[in-house]
This record gives sequence, C-alpha cells and structure tokens, in this order.
Amino acid sequence: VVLEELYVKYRQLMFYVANEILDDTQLAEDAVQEAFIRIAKNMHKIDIANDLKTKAFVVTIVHNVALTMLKKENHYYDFSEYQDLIVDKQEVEKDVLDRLEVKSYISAIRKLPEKYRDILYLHCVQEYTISEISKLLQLSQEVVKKRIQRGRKKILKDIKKGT
Amino acid sequence: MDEKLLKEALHKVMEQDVEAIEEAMKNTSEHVFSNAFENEMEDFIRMSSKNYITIGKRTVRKASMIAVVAVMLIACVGFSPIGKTVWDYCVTVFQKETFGNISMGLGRAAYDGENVYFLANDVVYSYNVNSNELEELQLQDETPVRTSMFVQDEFIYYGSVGENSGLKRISKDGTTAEQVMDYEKGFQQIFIDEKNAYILESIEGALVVKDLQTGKEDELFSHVLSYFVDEEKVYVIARENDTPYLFVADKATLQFAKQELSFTPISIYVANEELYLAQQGDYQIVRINDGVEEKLPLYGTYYQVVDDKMIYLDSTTFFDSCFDLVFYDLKSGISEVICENVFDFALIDANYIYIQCDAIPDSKYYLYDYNDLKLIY
Repeated sequence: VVLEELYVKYRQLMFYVANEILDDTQLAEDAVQEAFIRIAKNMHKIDIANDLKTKAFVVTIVHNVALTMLKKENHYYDFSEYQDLIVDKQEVEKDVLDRLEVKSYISAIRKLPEKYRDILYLHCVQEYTISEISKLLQLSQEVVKKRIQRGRKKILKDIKKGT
Repeated sequence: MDEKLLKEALHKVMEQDVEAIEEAMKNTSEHVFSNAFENEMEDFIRMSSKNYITIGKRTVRKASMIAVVAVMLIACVGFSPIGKTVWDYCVTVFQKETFGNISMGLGRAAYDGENVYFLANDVVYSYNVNSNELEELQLQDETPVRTSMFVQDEFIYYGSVGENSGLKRISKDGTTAEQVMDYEKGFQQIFIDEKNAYILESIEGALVVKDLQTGKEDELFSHVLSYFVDEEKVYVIARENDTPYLFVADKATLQFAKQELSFTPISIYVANEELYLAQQGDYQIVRINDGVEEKLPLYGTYYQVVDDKMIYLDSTTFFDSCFDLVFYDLKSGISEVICENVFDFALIDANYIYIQCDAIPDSKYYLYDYNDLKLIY
C-alpha cells in the first residue's frame, strides 16, 4: 500500500528529474523503475506521512540512478571515484566554526558537487548508514565513507573561507 | 562541525531543490508512461508491497489452537510474462531469497509435535526434531509461487498464488496432493478455521469471509491493512475515508464494533486480549488494552507474543535483509538480544524458536528453546 502510494504520488516527479538528466523518455522510465526497486528495499525507513522528507528521498535516489545511467550511456568514467579514495591530509579546524549560522552551511552545501551533497543528505538527514547508502546507490562502502568525509571537509573549508 | 546546523542546512537545501523542481514541472505536461512500464510497475508493487506488509504477520500455532491456524500469503498474482528489470528483481529477491530455499518467512514453517515442516519452492522439508532426520516431500503441481503453510491432521496445507491461486494440501507421507480451495482473485492473507476462510484480497484490500461448506462469500471490509483471528474474535484494521480504524467482532455474529486509531498500523497481533499493532513508518509497537493505546519502546517488523513475552525482529537494526531478534518481557520491561543477523524466525508450538540467520543463500539455521532462550541445535 505504501509503495503504491509512493508510486502514484511521485512517479511524475521522479520521471521529470530523470528525464532532465537523461533527456530520453525510455531511459528516464528505466531510471524511475530502478529507483523504485531500490526504494522498495528501504521501505521500512520511509515515513510516508512526512511528505517533504519522502519527496526529497525519492528525488535523491532517482537523481543518482539517472546520473549513473548517464555515465554508462556516455561511456563516461568518473575518475573522481578514485580521488575520493585519496586521503586528504589537510587538517580542518573544527571548534571555531561550530557557532556559525545555518546560512553559511546552506551556502557551502550549495557549492558542493551533487554527489557529496546527496550522500551527506542521506546520511545526516535521512539517517542512512554507510552500508545502507552503499547498497542504495550501488557504490562501495569505502567510496561512500570518503564522500561523507570529503563533503564535510569541503563544507568546513568553504565556511572557513567566508569567515 | 555543528551536526544540527549541517542537518538543518542539508534539509533546507533539499527542500529548496524539490520546490524548484516542482515549480519547473508546472510548465511541462504530465508524462504518459509506456504500457510496458505501467505493467511492470504494477506487478512489482503488487508483489513487493504485499510482501513487505505481511512481514508483520505469520502463522501462530499454539498447542491449544490445533484447529485454528493462521496462514499468511503474499499476493503476487498475475505476473506479466515479460518485464526485464522488475521481473528479474522479483525473481532474484522475492522468489530466490524468499521462496527458493528453506524459509520460515511469512509462516512457511509449521510443527506437529514431531516434525517441523518447511515450505520451499518445490518441496516441503520435514525435519524430525527427535531424530534430526530431514525428508523431502516433492510437490507435484505447477504453481510457480507457494506461500505459507500449516499442518492439520494428516495433511500439510499451503497457499499458492498465480494462475492456480488457492489453498492446497499434501499428505505427510507425500503421496496425495490436492487443491482444497480455488481463489482466482488472489490474496495476501488467509486464515482458515473449521467453518470459514478469511481472505484478504490482493486488490483494494477487500476482506472476504468464505463459508467452506457452502462456498458463499461475504465482503466484510475494503481497504484492509491487516487482520487477526483468534478462537473467538476477528480483529480488522482498515481505513475509512483515509482514517484508520480497529474493528472487532465475535466470529459467531461478525457484528463489528469500531474504534478510531490515532496512528496507521500495518500489522496486528492479539494475545491475552491485548492487541499489538506495529505502526506504519517506524514499526513502533502500540499495545491496546480496553481501547487504551500505549506505545511500547519496541520497533518490530514482525513479532509474536506468548505468556507475556514478546519476540520480535528489531526494525532499528535492519541491515542486509537481517535484524536482531529480541526477546522482551512485557511485564518487567527487560529485553535481551537472542541472536543477531536474523533473516527470519518461527516460533514453533510456543516451545522452540527456529532461527534463520543471514539471508539466503548463506543462511544458517538454529533451534532455540523458547523458555530459557538456550541454543538446542
């Protein structure tokens, strides 16, 4: 019932997001389908009553599925996957920044590449674990972990720059 | 880093993005999905959502309830013959993982005091708890998907869905197999007692009571989320105008009294005249006693209660299709993790807990004593 509700409610939105990326209705339908399959496996974590959170979740998933499909279609290889695995040794100051306003964070998040933002969103807001995200987005746990670390560091650096 | 601020900011950014997408969508016409897509999604949703919902209910077979047995069935009627991604997914996940091997999921295990029976894809395994011998009873019919089972007298009953949807039985010696009841409409849950079959239909969640002698059918409710039947009463949770209600009636009269619920449940279990409902979303268990709702500090996708003790799969520990199996004393509030990485479990005859650890094909099976929670085998 819940999955059906999700499907009826969000399939147009999901299709729109996928089609914007893929620019191919057939591929976009495939992306919606694939996204639903992944969502179905995580139904236990979806609070259908929280419309905004659910909407953001389905958009995040279909967005990632479509991007992955686009890469495959274009035979495009994302070398940043490897960059993610390179340990950034630069230490980032933490404590000083803790009192900053949410606006600074929003601005920093806006500058983040989407792949970092989506994973951070799933991890911090939707409270998915690293292994759950790894399955959801079909990335290795190591990549997910590194993207979370690097995403955080990028946000902190940006905030620091602005102060 | 201020985690609270980060969380708030991420939430805000996502909210703004979704709003922007929706705004942009206003200038586009609605996409008409292809027939293939619609068909595949319909099949997928029917199958996966029913499977999901019925996780919270399974066969309960106490010694005192020999003739009253619950059977939980997944609705997966009417697969389209093709369908690449979705069909593959259904086959690999729901067929292989759920049906393709010994599994107690959704009530696929039963016990008759001597043997534990497990329903697999095309055989019934009969495991003798005294001699530790395992026998296979080959199923002869061509039904592609079989669901829950129970044992009564000399027969093992099992549900089947698909073209020959209905209730079938095979004799314990494996020599006789026959159709007991046809049900072409397909169903996701069925409960049989001496007189009636209570059938939750796949389509629109209609709850139908069918007289096993006369074949007469009466639709009791539509939009049913789940139901439970015990020796005396029928308990139904259903929506009316989007509001969830609990309906309770004596089996003899089927005159239902209704109570509005403050939350939407997805499953119901009744023990000692207390109702245990898992609420949609987070699976928090709510106990209802004399109409009073009380939220318990438990989150269970599937749970059973015997003698003031609950055992449940803890939804907060979900990982890789598995959960922690937790024992909770409803009187003292003491809880204990019985086993981690549990894919499924069956409480057999209120004496044994049969536990399936790790998802198929890597499952390992254990038998625990329900009374002292010690590993037997």
